[in-house]
Amino acid sequence: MIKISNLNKSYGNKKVLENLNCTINTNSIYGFVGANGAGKSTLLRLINDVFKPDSGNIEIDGKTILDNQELKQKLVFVPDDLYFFPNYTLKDMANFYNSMYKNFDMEYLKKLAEILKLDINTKVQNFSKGMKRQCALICAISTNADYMFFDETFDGVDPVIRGLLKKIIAKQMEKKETTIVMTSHNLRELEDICDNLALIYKGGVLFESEVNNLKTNMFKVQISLKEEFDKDTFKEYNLLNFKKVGSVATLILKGEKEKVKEKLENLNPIILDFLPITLEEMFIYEMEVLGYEFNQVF
Amino acid sequence: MNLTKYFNFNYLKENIKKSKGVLLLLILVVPFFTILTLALMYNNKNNIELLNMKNIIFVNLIGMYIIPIGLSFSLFGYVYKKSSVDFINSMPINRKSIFITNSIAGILIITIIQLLTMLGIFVISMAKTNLEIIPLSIIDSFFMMWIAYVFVFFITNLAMTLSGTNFTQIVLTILFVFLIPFVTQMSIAIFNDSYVEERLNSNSTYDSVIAVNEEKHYVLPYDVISKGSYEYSNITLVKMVIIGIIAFLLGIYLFQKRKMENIDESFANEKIHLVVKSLTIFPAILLLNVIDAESTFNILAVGIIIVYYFVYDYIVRKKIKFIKSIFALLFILIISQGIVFGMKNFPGTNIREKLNKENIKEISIDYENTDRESSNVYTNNEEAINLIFDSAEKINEEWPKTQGENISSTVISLNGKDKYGKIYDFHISIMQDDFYKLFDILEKDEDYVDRVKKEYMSNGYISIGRNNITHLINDSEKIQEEINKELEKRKLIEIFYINSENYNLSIDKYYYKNHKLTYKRMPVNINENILKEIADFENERTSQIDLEKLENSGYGISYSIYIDKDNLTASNDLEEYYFDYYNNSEYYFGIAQNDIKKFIEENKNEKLDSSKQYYIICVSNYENTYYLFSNKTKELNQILEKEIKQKDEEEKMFIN
Repeated sequence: MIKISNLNKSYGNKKVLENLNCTINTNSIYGFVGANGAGKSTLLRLINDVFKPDSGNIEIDGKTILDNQELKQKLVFVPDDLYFFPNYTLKDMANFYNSMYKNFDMEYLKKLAEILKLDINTKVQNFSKGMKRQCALICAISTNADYMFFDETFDGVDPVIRGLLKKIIAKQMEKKETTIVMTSHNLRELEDICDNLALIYKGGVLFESEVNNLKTNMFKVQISLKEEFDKDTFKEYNLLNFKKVGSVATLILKGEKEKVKEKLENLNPIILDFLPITLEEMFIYEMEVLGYEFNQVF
Repeated sequence: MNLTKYFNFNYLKENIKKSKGVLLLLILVVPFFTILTLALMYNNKNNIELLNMKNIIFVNLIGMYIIPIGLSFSLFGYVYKKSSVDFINSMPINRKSIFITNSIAGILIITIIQLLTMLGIFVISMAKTNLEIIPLSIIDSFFMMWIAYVFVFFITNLAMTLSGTNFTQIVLTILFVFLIPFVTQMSIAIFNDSYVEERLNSNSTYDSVIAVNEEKHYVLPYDVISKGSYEYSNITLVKMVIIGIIAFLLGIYLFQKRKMENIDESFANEKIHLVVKSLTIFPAILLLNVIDAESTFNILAVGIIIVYYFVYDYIVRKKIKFIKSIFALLFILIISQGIVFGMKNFPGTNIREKLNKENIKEISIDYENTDRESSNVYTNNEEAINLIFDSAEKINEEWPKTQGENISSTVISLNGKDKYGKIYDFHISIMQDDFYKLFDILEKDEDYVDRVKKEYMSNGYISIGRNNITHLINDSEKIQEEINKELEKRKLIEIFYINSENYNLSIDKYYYKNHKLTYKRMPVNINENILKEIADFENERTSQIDLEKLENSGYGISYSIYIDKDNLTASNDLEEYYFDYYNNSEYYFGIAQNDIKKFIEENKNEKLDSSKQYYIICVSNYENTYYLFSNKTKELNQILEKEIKQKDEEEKMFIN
């Protein structure tokens, strides 16, 4: 488990993280989303001991990360700015990881490279941007580290490979208990893979939730009643948003789906449709509840 | 104990592997050019020469300013790069281990560089039969260079932990290495109002100047530039070791504390930037105060400083804050000038130290020939010390009266130790009569005389020179006996001040002492024992050559004969006879070449009877010269006559 408490970090006079608190449970995929400059990369750098925090605490499995070599064996980090040694092939890079990580699985790396059609004897510098990221990701996954941190995980990767990579990540979690922490400025990239999502805004966690929880407790409903109705008609509901065009209203509601449905049917609606809702919409409405405009945050 | 906390072999291997191209270049450049220099030098075919490291170390010295910095940049550089900072710092290796492992990698590479160079020198010296080496001199020089390289490497590593750009890292390295020695040296100059030169008497009109040279040692990279030569002492070594260790430990500490977000930036703090920038101009201000140049030069220099000030800002900060910088510069100039003013006017400074007999507690007389090593034999003989200084005072008093007429004086070189053990190296003029008196006084000091003579008894290479032939013989007991006999005979003055005209053979004893190759000279007249020793040495050397191989070496080969017509012992004055045959100093063979070749083959194991007449056959090609001493003068005369006869016939045929 990763426990982050009261984390602060500034670059000169500029505060990047401010009293950030967060708990990441083991064997889950945790996603940090937020606009560029929100502090996602800084947070990952602090967790991975690249930068030192000004104050606050980061504990991984109850131990502090600061200059803790043994603990860092359990961590692997794929930063946003990828680095490969000049003139190194994927095989050379894998050898480097192999020499650094006790549990590195060279055979697995070769297998992953084959799946992704990456030639391990080609110099990494000759690969495209997306291929370089694939190289970095498979090197990291092959370390079999307990905690994997991927910054801007799928940046530059095409949708097909993105899907493949997601499968590889899921497979890794099946293989062994692994905690994966990802960041992205694009919510859609993470919605179908993360168990938990946290929104970072102005150096703090603005909002955090289990994705399943969000998905099962939030609905988009299109409704039309025989009588005149307005927002107040639904004041007993946990209503996040209300929009009415003509006689049809679109509601965003929170609660147990069955109970809400039953209650709405009791109003004898002319139209009652439960529409699919995207994670992005869920975030928008949650933000609105917290008093933020979505555009401010992203 | 988990050693990987301090050192990670895998990381070392990978770090070297990733920069293998650059590192290979850094490893090979010094050995290659040093070996090349050595191969091209020492091609004097007449003499066997003793390798003086001073002559071939310059490649290594230039490397000292480049290689360690290159190593730091190769091994550490990527740790501070924006593109790689995340990658390397997130690896399961702690910062202490990164720093120590990279430092060890650098030390290993420096060791390889020095070992390869050393090995190359040994191999070349084995291949070149006219080149002799003193292994200790090579090992000592390379150990010193190793220390110097590691020192610069550690200093650069420290500079890299403190700064984020290559430019400022180099600036900091230069400041760390040069600033303190330079400021110290300039301060001495400012305090004493002249370079290390003191006068015996400030009212002196006669130039009986005591040129005092108090040897200062800082660190090798500074000393090489300030002195313009490769000289070092144990103090240099100790200073570099201590500063190097401090830099290394400080480097580890600061590297662990370093904020990795401050990369690609000179300094995180504007104030540090200003301090560093100011420190770079402070030496220039000191220098301007010392050289005391004309005002136009000073104005020009200040102009250059101002331009530099802004250029520095632009390079480091990529922007110039004009007004702020001008005020900062003015502030620095005022502060610096204030410090210099304070130094000049501080009570007790600007002392013209009077060096007189009361100050000097011990003296050692130096040899007249400055190439030779100074005598380290000191005496506290008060009578001698008083005589020297009184005599110099006498000259000072007499000189204005007669403008030097009727004053017969001589200059002697001395090393003087004051009561604190501080050594001054100076020259002093004393009256000619006092010069002889001085040696009479010292001659009576048996302990002193004994210690002076013992200086000649140590082991070393003996170089025997006669005309243009030099024989370099390692540690010959017989010749040492001859030296000892000479020492017994000679008066003290004849050891220090030698009239070479009285002797026909110079014997120099070379040895490596105090980190330099030096020698003591003891000219003698040739005798049977010395001749026998030289002959045995040279004949042994010649017996090992393969003439066929030498002839086919591509350089060609020549044979000649040196002739001693008279019995050696009949006259010590060999010079006239030695080369006097058919009006030629040497006779080169052409026609009778096969005869002389055959003679050498048949007689190369000859043991010379040095009491009888002898000829010397000389065999030389482009690289080497070998000598065969032979008493078979009749046989050699026949060959010579054959050669002359055939040549005469050829000349006649040519004329006809």
